[in-house]
Amino acid sequence: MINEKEIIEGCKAGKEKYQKMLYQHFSSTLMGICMRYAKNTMEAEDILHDSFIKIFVKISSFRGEGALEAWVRQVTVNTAINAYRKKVATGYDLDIDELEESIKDVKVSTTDKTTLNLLLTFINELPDGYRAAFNLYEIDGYSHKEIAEMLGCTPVTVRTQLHKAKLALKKKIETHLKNDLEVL
Amino acid sequence: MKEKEIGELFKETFKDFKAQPSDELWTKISENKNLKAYNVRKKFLNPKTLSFTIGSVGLFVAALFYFISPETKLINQEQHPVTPEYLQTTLIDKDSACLNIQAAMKTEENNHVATSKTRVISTDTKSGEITHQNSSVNKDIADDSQMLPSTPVSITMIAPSTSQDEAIEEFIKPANLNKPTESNLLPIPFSGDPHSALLQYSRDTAVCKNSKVVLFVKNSLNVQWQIGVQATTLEIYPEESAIYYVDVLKPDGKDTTLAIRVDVFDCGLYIPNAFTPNGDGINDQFKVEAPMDITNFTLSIFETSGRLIFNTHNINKGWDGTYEGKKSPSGAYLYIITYTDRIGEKHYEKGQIVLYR
Repeated sequence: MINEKEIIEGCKAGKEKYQKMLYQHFSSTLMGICMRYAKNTMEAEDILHDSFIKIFVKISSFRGEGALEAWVRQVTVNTAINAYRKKVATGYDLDIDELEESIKDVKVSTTDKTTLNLLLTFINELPDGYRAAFNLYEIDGYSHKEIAEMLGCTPVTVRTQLHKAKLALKKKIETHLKNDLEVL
Repeated sequence: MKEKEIGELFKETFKDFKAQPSDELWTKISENKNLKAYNVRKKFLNPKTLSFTIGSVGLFVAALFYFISPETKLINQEQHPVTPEYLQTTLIDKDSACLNIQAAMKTEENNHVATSKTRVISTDTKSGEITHQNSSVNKDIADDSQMLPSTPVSITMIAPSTSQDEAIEEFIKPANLNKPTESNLLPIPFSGDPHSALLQYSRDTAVCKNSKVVLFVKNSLNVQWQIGVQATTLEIYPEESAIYYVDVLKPDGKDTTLAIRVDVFDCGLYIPNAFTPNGDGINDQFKVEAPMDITNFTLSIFETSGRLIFNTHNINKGWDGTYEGKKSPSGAYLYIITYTDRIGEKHYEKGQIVLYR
């Protein structure tokens, strides 16, 4: 069991040893979050990278009032949303390389048909805006209003996006089930 | 399958979802430039390390004094006035006096802490940053022009930041310039010595948020800003304080990296132009926000007929849209605000505020 207090103090003093301990302790949990918010593994790792830099630099402002895990999760979600907003602001869209990348990802996970991998693929395939809203509301439990503030849109837009996200996911699941039946 | 079920299915599945990032990611994080700089800064702020550093830097300075002093004499005997190699000019786009004074104040602060900052940055051994810190001290001296002969002392104060050889090189260079180069012929501010102005660049600057700043480098053969611009001037509208790094090729053919710090802060009051006192908790009061310390604050609100209906000296107090207990009707009202900012300048602002019910 790691000693949270010691690690926090170590990180606050900028000691790499403790930063590594913190990383090892949380990296898989946070990577899980990033995988949900990103389009593919590469993007997820970029978000995770930025999140950890932010965590290490901002840890001096962490007062220890809540759990450390909740705080690092919050930072990661915020980083993911920032990445999404930046993407929207720069008008950046899928380029060819990335398109191939995501197709590859799909192939990998359809061979491994556990429910989780399948559902993750479905999330990854959603348009960026839908994915952000869906993750924030359904899995991370933010309210419509909070999401609207984070994404810089109105609560109505958030509701619409959520609805569309769920429709898209529903369709994906149904198609998949149908295909499965055909195979059988 | 219903929509609600989809949400629950995903929530259940991803509640404790973990994934393994690739092995290289930690290396990437630990080698991140910002993080490294942060760690170094933190370590130097640690009281234990700090006293040790001060001690060792003190020793180093003493040693440098010992080694350099004969050469200093030599230079003075040869009648080569030692002048700063780098000179800079401030460029602040807004010409309001307030800004300039603030900038000056800021720079003064910077210079006060110059020594400690240099120490921190130095472990990165970026010659540009070091050079720049040198130059900010040099600038001080250039301003007090009669102090020129004492320059060596100031430079050696900074010297611990860089390797000994480098420091001496920087220090002796102005006196060693025998062959005239093209840049020597250019007009030179601050000093009549043709050897002094080789490379000029913007000094550290403080500006208001989102105002225009033009950073420049003069007399360099090649200028590459690290944010990806290749030009002698860089026009920016900064939102946050930052250090701008620029790779330059000095007239003597050497590469170096300069660092120009731009501090950004909020100036001026935030005065909303409309409010809705309907009790919904959102924007129910007309309230002014000041990003910095101000004194002698007065807010007066008048009806369009000219009658004073609200007056306060407390910046945290807002007008709730009532007068003598009665709700004022929707419409336009006039405000007059006076205050003194933290550098003692008086401000007077008036305008119109709209009340919606």
